Amino acid sequence: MKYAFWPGCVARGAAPELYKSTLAVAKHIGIELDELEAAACTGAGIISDADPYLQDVLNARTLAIAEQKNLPLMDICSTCIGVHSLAREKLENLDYRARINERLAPEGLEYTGTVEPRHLLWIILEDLEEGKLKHLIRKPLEELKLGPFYGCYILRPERVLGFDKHPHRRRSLEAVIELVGATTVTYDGMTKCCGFPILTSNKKNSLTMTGTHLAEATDKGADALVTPCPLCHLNLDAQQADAAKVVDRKLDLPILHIPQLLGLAMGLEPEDLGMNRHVVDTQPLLEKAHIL
Amino acid sequence: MLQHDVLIVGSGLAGMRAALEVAEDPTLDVAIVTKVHPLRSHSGAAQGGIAASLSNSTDQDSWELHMYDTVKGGDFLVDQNAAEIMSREAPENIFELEHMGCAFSRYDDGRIAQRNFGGHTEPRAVYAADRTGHALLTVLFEQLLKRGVKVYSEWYALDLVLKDDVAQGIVAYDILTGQIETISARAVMFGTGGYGRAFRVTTNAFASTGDGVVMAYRAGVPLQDMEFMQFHPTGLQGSGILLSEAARGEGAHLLNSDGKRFMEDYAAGRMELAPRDIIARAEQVEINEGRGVTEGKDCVFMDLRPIGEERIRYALPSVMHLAKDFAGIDPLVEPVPIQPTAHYSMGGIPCDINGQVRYKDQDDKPVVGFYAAGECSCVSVHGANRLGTNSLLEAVVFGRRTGRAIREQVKDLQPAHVSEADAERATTEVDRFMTADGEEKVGAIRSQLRDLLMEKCGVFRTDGLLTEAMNEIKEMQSRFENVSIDDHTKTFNTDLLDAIELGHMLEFSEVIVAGALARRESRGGHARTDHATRDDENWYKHTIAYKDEDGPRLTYSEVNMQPQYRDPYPPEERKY
Amino acid sequence: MPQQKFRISRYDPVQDRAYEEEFDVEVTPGQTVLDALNLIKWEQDGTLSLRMSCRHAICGSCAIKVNGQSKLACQTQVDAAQDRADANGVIAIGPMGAQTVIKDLVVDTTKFMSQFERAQTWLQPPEGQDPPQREYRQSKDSFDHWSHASSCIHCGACYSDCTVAEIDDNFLGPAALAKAYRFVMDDRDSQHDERLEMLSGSGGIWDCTRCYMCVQACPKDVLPMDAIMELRTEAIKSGKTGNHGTRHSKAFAGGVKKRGRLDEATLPVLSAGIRPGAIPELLGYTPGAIRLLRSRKLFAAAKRHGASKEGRREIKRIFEEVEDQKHHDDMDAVAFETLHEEALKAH
Repeated sequence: MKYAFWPGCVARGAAPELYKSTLAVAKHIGIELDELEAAACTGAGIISDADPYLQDVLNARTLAIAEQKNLPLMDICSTCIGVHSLAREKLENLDYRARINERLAPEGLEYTGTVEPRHLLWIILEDLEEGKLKHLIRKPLEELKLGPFYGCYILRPERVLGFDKHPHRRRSLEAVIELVGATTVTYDGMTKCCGFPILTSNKKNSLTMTGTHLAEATDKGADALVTPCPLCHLNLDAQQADAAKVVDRKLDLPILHIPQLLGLAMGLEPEDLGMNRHVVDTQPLLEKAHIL
Repeated sequence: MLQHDVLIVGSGLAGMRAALEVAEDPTLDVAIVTKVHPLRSHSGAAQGGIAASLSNSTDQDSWELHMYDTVKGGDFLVDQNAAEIMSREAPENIFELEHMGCAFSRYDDGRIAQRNFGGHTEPRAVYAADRTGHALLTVLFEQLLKRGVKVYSEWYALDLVLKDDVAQGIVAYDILTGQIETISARAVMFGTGGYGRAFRVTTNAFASTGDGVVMAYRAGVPLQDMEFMQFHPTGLQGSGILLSEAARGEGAHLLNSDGKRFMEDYAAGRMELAPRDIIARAEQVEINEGRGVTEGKDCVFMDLRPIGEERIRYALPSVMHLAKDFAGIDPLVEPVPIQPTAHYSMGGIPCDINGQVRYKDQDDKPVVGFYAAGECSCVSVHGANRLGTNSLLEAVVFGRRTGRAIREQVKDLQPAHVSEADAERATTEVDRFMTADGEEKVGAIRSQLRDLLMEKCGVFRTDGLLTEAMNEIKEMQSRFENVSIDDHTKTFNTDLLDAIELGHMLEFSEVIVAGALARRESRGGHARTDHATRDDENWYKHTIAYKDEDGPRLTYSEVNMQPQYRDPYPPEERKY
Repeated sequence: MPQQKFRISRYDPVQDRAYEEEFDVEVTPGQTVLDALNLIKWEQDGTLSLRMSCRHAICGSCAIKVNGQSKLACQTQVDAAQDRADANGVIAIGPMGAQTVIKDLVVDTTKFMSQFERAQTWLQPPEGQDPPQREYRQSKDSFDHWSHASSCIHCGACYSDCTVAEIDDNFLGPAALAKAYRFVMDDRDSQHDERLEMLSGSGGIWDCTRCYMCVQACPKDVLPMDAIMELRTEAIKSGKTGNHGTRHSKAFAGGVKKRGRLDEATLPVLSAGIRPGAIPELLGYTPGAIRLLRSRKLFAAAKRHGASKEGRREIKRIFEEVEDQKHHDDMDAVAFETLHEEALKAH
């Protein structure tokens, strides 16, 4: 199984543990990744604030590169999957597509709408042979109670995320938590916003959101959160201490990336999954799970 | 004990337009009392358009033609001075609304667009996609906000207080707190809407329970032409939810079970664009004669496909979504099952072209200080049947005229006073429901009433059915005395309001049936199989109904044949 | 006929008690949640309180939460709600969020409604100028561009689910901002610039966290968040750039232009702006930076990974071509028009 692989900016930047664990897990499962070195940042909806057309061109290009390789496309970030999916909707408009292809033509690229970007989380549930993943789970995380934190763009807007064809995607995180043998902790905040997009422009609101969701999950008994979005991860993990101050609560909740969750359950070494690169210490969690 | 110079009950188009007009004089203290937030008013449900002879789509139009279409559309029961003034003032009212920012659809050159509509000879329906009512309601509310008019939102008016034929104010109920309040005002205007909820299949909101009409009736003001109920031909199967006439204006076809465009047999000239009452009857005949569709065979089909997907998405998005969301039918790929649905109340509180309520049979004496406009009023600009796009127009034109009249007259009116004693009836009624433990349930009686009127006072009426209806209504009125409710608290008691509204429905239903029984002819929305033709010799007159001890007492008043700027249109055979 | 269980979050104002109550209702296919609630009200418990009027999604009265998501009760089929019911098949019903509950499903809408006044969402034609004799000529293109936003029925579902309104009363919220958009884009309004100035300030367009809850909740496809985003583009074009959001966007784009990837190292600095007022903010980043250092994340970020050499070249070319194109074509408008067209098809 081979995929065009878009790691996103944060996995190659401030969340290197996501990149590391993705490669480790892919190798272990037998998935070959062809990383799109030439592709650009999706713009995350921030480039489009000033320049929506520009953002669409950059994303059409990424999709076109995958098309050229004739490979399905894998994202590992909720924000990337959201932005790619939204771009795809706009690119269904042939007039617009033509205007965008004008910018791609000099590079010999053309967007034709044949590639469907999907998150690793969906690929795990949709592409593996029945039972294959179950077979790979050597170390079920039965001791752990895990709270999902989806990240907005892997849930909304539903119309671009293929939910009508794949309704299971609405609960994809919960499915994976169940798959690895852990217990899901449901809480209101799990489908809400972490506040990352407004971290620099309205820090108080941003961290209020972060802190509120962390507190709620903690109160419901979660040992850790799992998130498919490295941007959420930054707010939930790197900003946890500041968030705790804003909501006036003690918080100590480690945040896992999807491939880390899978890797631990498949028996991979914590260090190979970058578990030591978190701001909120993951050691107690690993001890609870009898991994350390 | 509250007091204002002017009190307007109802915050739909008529009420808000009047309020804005009164507020032009900053020395006047005007307030609106409304049982639902203004943005929830049923005016917002209108879809198709608002008529005006702007001649943006054609150069063949004129106010005279609009007036003629209106008079003929009303089967000649229309007061011609009213039709004249509405047609003449329509264009300036449209431009005024547009200047306020109304979101009207446009032509490429930026002018307001106009389209065809049933019963109108020329395309004069100004529209905002197919949410015209919503666009008008929105712009008037925006202006209300801008002006800062006081609104008592979610206050339920219970009684109109008159003393010696002079308005004093109202008794109202604050839904949030359960408090009963008296509000004195020298000028009281009702813009309280229609009464379609008494029919099982209806386009009307839950709120359309004829409250204002009944309050006036109970206060001694007669009601006019109550028997004329419009059954809109294209209500969605089952619920009766409105699918706009605009669909037919854009080119939709009506088909029976044989796939035939049956309107050819009833109005070959206008086909699907004949007036609503004619189409509703045609549908009912097709259904009664076994050519209906769906399992219950109680519908016909409206097929939008001839219009084309692009135009449907652009000009009829609401119709498309309504069919999908509420009947599970996608009109882009299949025809939609529809049926006649109780839609518009031609009858109501009698008033003149300035909104002044009058005893039209008693030398035209005014009820000083009491005004009405919009669907709750009967000017009568629609006569026996209303043309589509004339209701939004009526509300705006007469709302404005009434507001202006109030603004000019209120300072000459005597001070008004509503006393504690005036609140006694309402207080007693509320107390009764708060303590009653009778066997009867509101839901059951209401359901029975709605079925009754649909079946026995619906599209086709007969003496036998109407008499049965009257007896059943009396029996239900008696059972209503033993009604009890579940909620006995003061905060936001919707259970209580449901009971009060049922009382209103039982009251006006009697007036509708009485008028229908007495009128031995067929005219406009009142169609009888035992008197199937229009009888101008005996029935060229308006019904006036007073509340008496044992029921409505009927008299009649003349149709106005004195337009100011041209000769009246003499009654003629109504063919399309 | 099948029985469906509903669990309703109720509130009794007399006893000041919030509680949950379950009801069983016999539902026929095609019935809506409103139908079911009315069956409960009319046949089982008349004290169940909710607002409703038109029952066909135009009056906006009946917005509630169904299975945790804000919707119009009348527009939600029971079948569809069943798909998202809990593990036991029970459909959860509750009042809207971000607003005080008065009783059961009835909330106090004052806070929501007041946002429209705050945002001055009414037409402000040119002052001191008489309107034309007939209509203002409004171009069809202008009307077509914003008319979907004018279909708002003020139901509050967007505000109820808004993740910012939930924690911040100062935020104007999606409905008021979408309505403000409708007037900014209406060429009959004379306050285009002034509105953008106000909307770029506190509680306005830059306080939106881009979570898409409002787009998901809106029963009329107003696309509020997209309206907010278009306001951002419009505000930047109009020179309202002295704010964090604009600096953030430009800094972000600048980083991607250089190396094809987000430049986390310089982003916070450039977002704050190179100005005296930014010093407290920059100092505020210090604890976070130390934390990142400790976890050795900052080294990774400092490495400033970028796209491949060829990629960077093409990306730079694209940036330059797009910049150049701006002088001839309003591609922003085209981008938003395309978005509206494709998004509205989805219903």
